[in-house]
Amino acid sequence: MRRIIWITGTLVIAIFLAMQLHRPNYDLSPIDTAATFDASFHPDQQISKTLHQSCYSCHSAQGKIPWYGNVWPTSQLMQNDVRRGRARLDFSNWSNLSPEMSRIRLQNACSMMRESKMPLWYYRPMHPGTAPKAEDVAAFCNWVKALPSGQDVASLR
Amino acid sequence: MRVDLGRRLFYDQHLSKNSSISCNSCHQLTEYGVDPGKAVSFGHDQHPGGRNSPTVYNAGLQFAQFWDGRAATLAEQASGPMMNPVEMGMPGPETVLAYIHSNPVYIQLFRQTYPGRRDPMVMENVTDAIAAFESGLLTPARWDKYLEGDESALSNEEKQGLRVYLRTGCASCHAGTGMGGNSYQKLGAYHNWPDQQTDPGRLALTHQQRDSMYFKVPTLRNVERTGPWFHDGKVKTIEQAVRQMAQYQTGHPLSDADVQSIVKFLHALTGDIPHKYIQPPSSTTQTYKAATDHGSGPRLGLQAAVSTSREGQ
Repeated sequence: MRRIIWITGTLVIAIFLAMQLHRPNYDLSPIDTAATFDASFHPDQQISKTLHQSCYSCHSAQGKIPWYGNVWPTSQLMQNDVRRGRARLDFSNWSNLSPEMSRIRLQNACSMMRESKMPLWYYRPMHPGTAPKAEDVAAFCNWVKALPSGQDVASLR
Repeated sequence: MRVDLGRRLFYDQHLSKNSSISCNSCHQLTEYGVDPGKAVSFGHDQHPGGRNSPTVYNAGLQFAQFWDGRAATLAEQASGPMMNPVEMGMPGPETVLAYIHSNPVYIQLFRQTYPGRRDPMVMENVTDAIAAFESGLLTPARWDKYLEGDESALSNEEKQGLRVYLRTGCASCHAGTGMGGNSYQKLGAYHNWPDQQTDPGRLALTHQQRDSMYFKVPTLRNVERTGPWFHDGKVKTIEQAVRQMAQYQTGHPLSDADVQSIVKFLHALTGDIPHKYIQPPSSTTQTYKAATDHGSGPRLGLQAAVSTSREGQ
């Protein structure tokens, strides 16, 4: 029995060590500051702080990756989240959006935070203090609401 | 007036080098504005183009034109294919204007449409008229009625498809009035796109590495009718297009049932072709032949053509 435990344990450790050879790719290449959300909108300090604190880890190339973000298997999970997150919303690459899409993404961000769907439930305990306060979410959503509206669907009529 | 003139120009084959193709050849208005079934279209000398012909319908709803967004407006876009050597192949604007100046119908129409200029037959007005016509190429769909509150506009299957569409994350890019056409996105945002070499997207335009594999997100309006799909036209079925988008863009491989469900929703984005609006003018070729019979065709050169037009002022 002890032999089986010993072999199993050795195998698990070997696999764990071998998997460390797979390095995550978070694509944190240097950003063009002129193309960022901050450069596009120059939001006030409260909004900027809320977004940087609660969103930028997964939704920008400006996130700080914690040490366990380079240790498999958390590295794999984090890499997937960051890739998926940046495909949907990337504060580092804002100039690729039209004013209409810019507004849509910010409205979505507001909804996700207001409904506590973002930051993700499993992100919060690992990153204490990153969940935005209700007043910060309200300030952000009011700011989004005040943005100039884009084209109206009625224009198709 | 601008729309009528633009419509005539859109259908006019004499705006190509050997009078063989018009805008409508690659953006067939009776076929939802594409070259149906062709991965890429063939130009005046039968050379293939570099990318799939995007639909011209609802192009006015988009924030930039061409797959790489190299034209900011419809007017800016309009002159591109005319002078592109592998598309309509006109040597330059002077050749286009020589033809316009040679055609009595155009002379009259340009003067009526752009009064107050000694010579209104300039490229700026040619592209402005085409853009005015293209701006009206809209196809409202049942989706719009649904957004306006008509719950019955979508079937239950389409509503289920909408739920899968939203759950998968398609709306992160395909949203807004045009259901796309309002952002650039990396093709292969989640998994690297298999073909990284043939066409690097906006990188070729901006020469910035961060634009590698970025393309304009195409509109999904009428998407089920605008195949083959993607910038290279290599995907031949809408189901495969949906499957690949989910896999490479969102990292969510879809079941066959979910693919079918999304395809059903996409059906609600198909509008009617505005047959009355796109009715081709009947007399372009006839009037052109009449003009050339009198010795003022486009092969005569700019000076002769300009002289011909000014005689009428």
